[in-house]
Amino acid sequence: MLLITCPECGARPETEFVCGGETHITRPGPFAEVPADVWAGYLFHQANPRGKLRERWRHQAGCGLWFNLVRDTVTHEITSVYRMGDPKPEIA
Amino acid sequence: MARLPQGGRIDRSRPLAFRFDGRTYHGFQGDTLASALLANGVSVVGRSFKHHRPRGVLAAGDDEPNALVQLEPGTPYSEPNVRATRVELYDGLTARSVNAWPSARFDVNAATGLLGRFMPAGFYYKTFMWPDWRRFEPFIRRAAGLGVAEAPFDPEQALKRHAHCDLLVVGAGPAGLAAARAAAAGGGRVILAEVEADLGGSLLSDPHATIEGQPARAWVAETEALLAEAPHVTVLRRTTVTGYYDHNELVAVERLADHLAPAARRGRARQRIWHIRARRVVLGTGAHERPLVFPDNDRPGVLLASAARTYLHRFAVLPGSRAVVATNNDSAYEAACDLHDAGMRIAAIADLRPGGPGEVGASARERGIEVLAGSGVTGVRGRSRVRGVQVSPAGEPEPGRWLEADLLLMSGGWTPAVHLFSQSGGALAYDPALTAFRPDRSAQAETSVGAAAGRFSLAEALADGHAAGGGDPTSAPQAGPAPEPAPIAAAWRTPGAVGKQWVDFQSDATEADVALAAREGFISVEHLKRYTTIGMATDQGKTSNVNALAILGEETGRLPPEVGTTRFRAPYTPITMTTVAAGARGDLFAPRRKTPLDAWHREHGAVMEDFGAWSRPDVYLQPGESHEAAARREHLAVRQGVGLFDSSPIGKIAVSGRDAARFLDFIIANRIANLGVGKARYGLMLTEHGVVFDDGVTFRLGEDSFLLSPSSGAAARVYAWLDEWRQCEFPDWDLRIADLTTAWAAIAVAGPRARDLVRTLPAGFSWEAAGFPHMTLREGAVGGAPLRAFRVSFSGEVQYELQVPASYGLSLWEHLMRAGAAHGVTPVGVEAWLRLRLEKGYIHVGSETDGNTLPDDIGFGPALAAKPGDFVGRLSLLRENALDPDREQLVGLESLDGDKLPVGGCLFRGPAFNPPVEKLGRVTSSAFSPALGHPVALGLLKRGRSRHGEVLNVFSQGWIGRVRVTSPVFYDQKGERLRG
Amino acid sequence: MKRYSAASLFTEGFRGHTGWERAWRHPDPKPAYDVVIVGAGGHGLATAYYLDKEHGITNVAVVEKGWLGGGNTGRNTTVVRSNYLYPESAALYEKALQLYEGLSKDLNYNIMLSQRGMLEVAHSRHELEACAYWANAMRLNGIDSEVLTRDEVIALVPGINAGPGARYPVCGGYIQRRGGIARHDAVAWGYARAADARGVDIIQNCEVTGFRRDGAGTLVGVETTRGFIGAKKVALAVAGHSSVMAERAGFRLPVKSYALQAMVTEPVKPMLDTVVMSLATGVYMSQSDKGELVIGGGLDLYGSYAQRGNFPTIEKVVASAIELIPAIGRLKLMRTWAGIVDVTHDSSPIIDRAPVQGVYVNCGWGTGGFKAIPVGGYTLAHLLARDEPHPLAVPFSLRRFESGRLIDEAAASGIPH
Repeated sequence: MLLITCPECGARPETEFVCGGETHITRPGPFAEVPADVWAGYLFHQANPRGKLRERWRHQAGCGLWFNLVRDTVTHEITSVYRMGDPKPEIA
Repeated sequence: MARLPQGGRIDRSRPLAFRFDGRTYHGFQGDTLASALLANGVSVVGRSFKHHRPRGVLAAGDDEPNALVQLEPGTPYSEPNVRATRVELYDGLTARSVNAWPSARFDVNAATGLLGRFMPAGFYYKTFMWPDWRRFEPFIRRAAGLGVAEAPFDPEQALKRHAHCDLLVVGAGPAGLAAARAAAAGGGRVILAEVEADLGGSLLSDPHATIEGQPARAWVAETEALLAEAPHVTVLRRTTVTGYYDHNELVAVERLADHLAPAARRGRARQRIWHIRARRVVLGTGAHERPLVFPDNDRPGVLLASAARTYLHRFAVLPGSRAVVATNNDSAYEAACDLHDAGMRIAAIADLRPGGPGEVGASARERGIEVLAGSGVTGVRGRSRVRGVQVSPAGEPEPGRWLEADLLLMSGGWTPAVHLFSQSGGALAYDPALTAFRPDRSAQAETSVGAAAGRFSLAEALADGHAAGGGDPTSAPQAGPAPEPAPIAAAWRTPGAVGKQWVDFQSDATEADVALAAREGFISVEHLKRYTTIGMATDQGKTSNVNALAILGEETGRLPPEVGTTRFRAPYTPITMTTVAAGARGDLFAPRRKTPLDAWHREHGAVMEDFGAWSRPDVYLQPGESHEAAARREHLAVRQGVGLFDSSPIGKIAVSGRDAARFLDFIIANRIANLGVGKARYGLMLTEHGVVFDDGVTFRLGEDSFLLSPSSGAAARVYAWLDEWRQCEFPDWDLRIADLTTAWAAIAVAGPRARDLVRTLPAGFSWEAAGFPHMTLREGAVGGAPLRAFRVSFSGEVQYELQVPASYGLSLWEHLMRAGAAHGVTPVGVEAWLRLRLEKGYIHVGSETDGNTLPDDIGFGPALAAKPGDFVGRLSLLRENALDPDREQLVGLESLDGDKLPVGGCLFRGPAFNPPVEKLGRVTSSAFSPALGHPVALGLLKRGRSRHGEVLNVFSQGWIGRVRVTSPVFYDQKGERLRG
Repeated sequence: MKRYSAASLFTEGFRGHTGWERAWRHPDPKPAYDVVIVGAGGHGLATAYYLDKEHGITNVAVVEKGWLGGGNTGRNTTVVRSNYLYPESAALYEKALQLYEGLSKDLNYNIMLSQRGMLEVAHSRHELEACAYWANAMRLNGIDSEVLTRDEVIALVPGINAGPGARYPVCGGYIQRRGGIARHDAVAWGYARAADARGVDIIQNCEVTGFRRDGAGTLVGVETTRGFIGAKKVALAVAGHSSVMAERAGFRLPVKSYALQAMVTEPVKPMLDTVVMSLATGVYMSQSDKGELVIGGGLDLYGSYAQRGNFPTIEKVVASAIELIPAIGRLKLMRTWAGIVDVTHDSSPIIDRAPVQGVYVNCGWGTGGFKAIPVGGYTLAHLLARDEPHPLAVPFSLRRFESGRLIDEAAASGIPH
């Protein structure tokens, strides 16, 4: 079970969180000008890397905060936790 | 005599009686079932899985493959496949061998053994294809399986505990104790988990070892006392650490009451599951001794050498009277000498190493024990008990000599117990000096110590443990001198010998099975495991894995490191399912949500049903009334008088702030920005895929203040959805969102006489239609409580929804029941409530919608198309799929046969039902309409809006009826009643 | 290929089973093939088999990073069924089931197909109505299904928790009697042996690390850990790894990878004669021929390539299983593991040409890949041979993610699927 550090509450077990998937995805717009393939890319074509992934989590059973982290999808090692709006960390 | 008059750690003052396979035996407190059986001379304790060969106890711990029993058969405590080596004896214990009938000694299925030659590894893949497998399967299934699951449910409970520590030490052998002791001295929070009741591990079976100049047992006692006094140390006995998970979380099972008789366990939890999060972990899990592979090495009376030593020193049991010892390493000499000293005749030690033993050889020779260097076992006589052992010079074709013996002890070397290490993600390396895999690179904050790290001497164990526990290297406990060892000889099987050589006892697989697998190309170690089932049994191959992969290597010309090993899977030893689930049973598995009026409903005849997470009244039954009659009565009460409906679970999401209006205009597909203060509007919420995921009414309480009322089942999801958009996409907007769903009770008052009833509430505003029209709201107070009143209607009649803080819900409800008595007020359950809306053609999310429904399917296409600006899901409504004219649309359905239409019935056209038939649609809701006097239904139908008047067929479970397509609104099509 | 039969087993029994041939060769790669299939799981091996059997194409290699059948083929809960709602899915999975029904004889390998019934248990009226809809839709599609009463469910699953105190009361259910289980390893091994006998090279321990194109951008082969292998066409059948391979080939797939947990209890004598699934909790169970209860139903709710069990999911699945059949409470959990599943938004597969030339994909089966192995291979072989999708595979294109024509079975019912 993962141990995730909520920026508000500190290290808490995985079961208190929900994962919202890849983060830093920009919603395309304005809507009248979005081509179909761009919309499909937004809806479906996420990175799904084998390795480090920036994703967003919510501390559901805690303070309710949405925040970002960098997690390795193979080892589950979490190398960075940062708030919404913080700059996007580089990943190797 | 198997039991020695003195010695061991048993309590001779507490004799115990127990039964095995129908016979009564005696043992002592401190025995395991296995030691007690050996003490009673019971050699056959089970039958093998496939060939039904008699089998005896092989080991003394978790690695035991043979001695599996059904514990307490025929009682509610019955438990299959329990390792006798881990059952602590209690008075009255009853056990039965598994996989044998009527008993392990006389097993009628033993005849299967005669067919053994036709049942090599994987034989079932090659036959049973004609006529088909199902003809043979029942016989195979009956023959397979071990014990029986005969208790209809588990009468016992398990507890669950979370713990955090700086250091978790797994195993209280010398390495683990040294680690715990050093860490305790450092003041950290330490948890020490030991599978046995006693601490000490291998030291318990070694009376000669010394530490710091004193007998090792004294050092163990001293350490135990130190740990007991240390303030932050928790010692868990009878505790198996079964799994090593991510981020240094480990799961352990503590057996709280298994060692007690069932009668003594009542009122106590049987086990406790621990979830331990440790900063660091020390794995002092020891090592397992490997069997040697030679003909008939599975005969009862063939034991691991170290197991015999354990039975001697801990249980004062001599498991035979005359033993041959077979080995490829020095460790078996200790067993041979100790057993000799305890009175056993050691016929010979057959040592596969041409150069013989290291310094330990001298102690054997001193005792007059014959050491046959360069020799191995090539045959075993005796079927249900060893009678003789053939020892031959290794690699020589000539047969050797037969030695009389009733016990054969073997040691094929030691395999570090790397299971937890491997689960943690650590990488293993093959060490030729050990002839085994040992931990190489760690993946988590973990250190393997002592035998678990492949460092088998006591000195190494103590040094490793002390260092891993944070001790100063100069202060490590010192072991007494040990003889200089000679290297182990790799010896994986006995070539040229006649007879079956067993590799995996529990899976009943032989060296020939491994060779067959190799011949057939199953040369990956995973293929070997799956094809031969080696390592797939309940012991997960603790005694067999290394031998099997080494033999595979020999067959394919590879060394063990090239063959590789399989990944170990949790749990280390099997865990009782009840213990895994711990308290999560029944209502604690999935708690039901209750409204503030729950008790009132139950006291007034409500039939409570689950609707999503909520427990709600379905109908209120009057004496002698059927479910259907009750629903119709409640339905009519709303149409003709007044009904009360507990709508408390309806969502109540408050959204406020300067940006609230534009936020909701984006989230909700319908227009919200132009909604007037004090007014309400119905709207849909879509996913980004354009799919309707909820509907509800939005109220504007003030310029910057809104209240959303999502449907009961979706309230929590809607709140989370809104909050995700707020936090992640609009962090700079002025927005506050709160889920008040359970803070307020909600009561709907509906029916032509609803106003008569609410007039009895002096709320500080007018209840009349002129001042409080449909789709508006008022805020006031009643009885000292704030009151919100909404004029919305799901029922199609005049309807007021009253919301008060949850703690006032019951008094408001009771007031309305009292005040309404004169008007015939009737409590209404969910069933009637849903029928009321059905007559009106209102959708119910989840009935008329599914995860593919788009707004236009339910009639909202034009309204949304006219909305300016973007909203969630809008772009998806422009895709080809959304513009398809063939989509299913909401319709009404009237049965032409007078029957109520079955929900889930499928609509099709054509005179006959000849599948495959195109499905045109389906019935989504259906009920008798008391107002109309006949059944009505809603459905989704391809091009439904253009088909009104058409007659179609409906199919349900073989029944076919006819329906006419209509408008979905059956009642009060102009909506005059609800506005009244 | 030496035929397997009771007679050959009998003969070999008298000579120590020394006459059995290798089930498949371990060849070195040839310089080039007409088709290289990446991934020697069930789908990849079946593709190779049907390429020859249906289309006469034998110059084929199946390259595999690890050992054949070691991915999801060897990690699933072995259920086969075709109880699908939409005609597109029903046709696809029904074809798979029909191929399964003849597979042991077709491959001369006993895959132990046990059509013991796939039962879905409804715990509320709403679920029972969903069952009825499902069963009716199946009948319209021409597939067997029956709605069962509460008593019929109890008769099929004697230990089911139908008592008055049950957290999830039993209201009925529906069954596809032709559904059941098969031996997963045998499916991989059977296809491998049959494909090998037809001349297909199965190259294990050979990872594809890149795709080579000529100056004009035409695919000429794949780079592997065993060197370059020429190929006119390359098919990806790498469940759990599809995104990674797609990235190497230069495109993106609309899939996410999750860890699907599964587990078995220790073996016991027969106690469950059907495959049973609880609609309320999504847990499902069957008893293997060896006697273990095979239990599934839990997906970790975050993207993962870690093939290992995660305890919170295991707890939930086990608790759900005990709620359904309390008699398993005193059994012991013996082994847990996870497979990585590639999940599309609609949980339906993709069988299509990739957006880059020369590459073909079979992916996105989510948790349901095992039951589809024969048809996944059958339709991918057709696509490779004809360069146009098999009619059964047409709806399962990549284009549906732009058109929105998703085939979402789970969404259609609210039933976990």
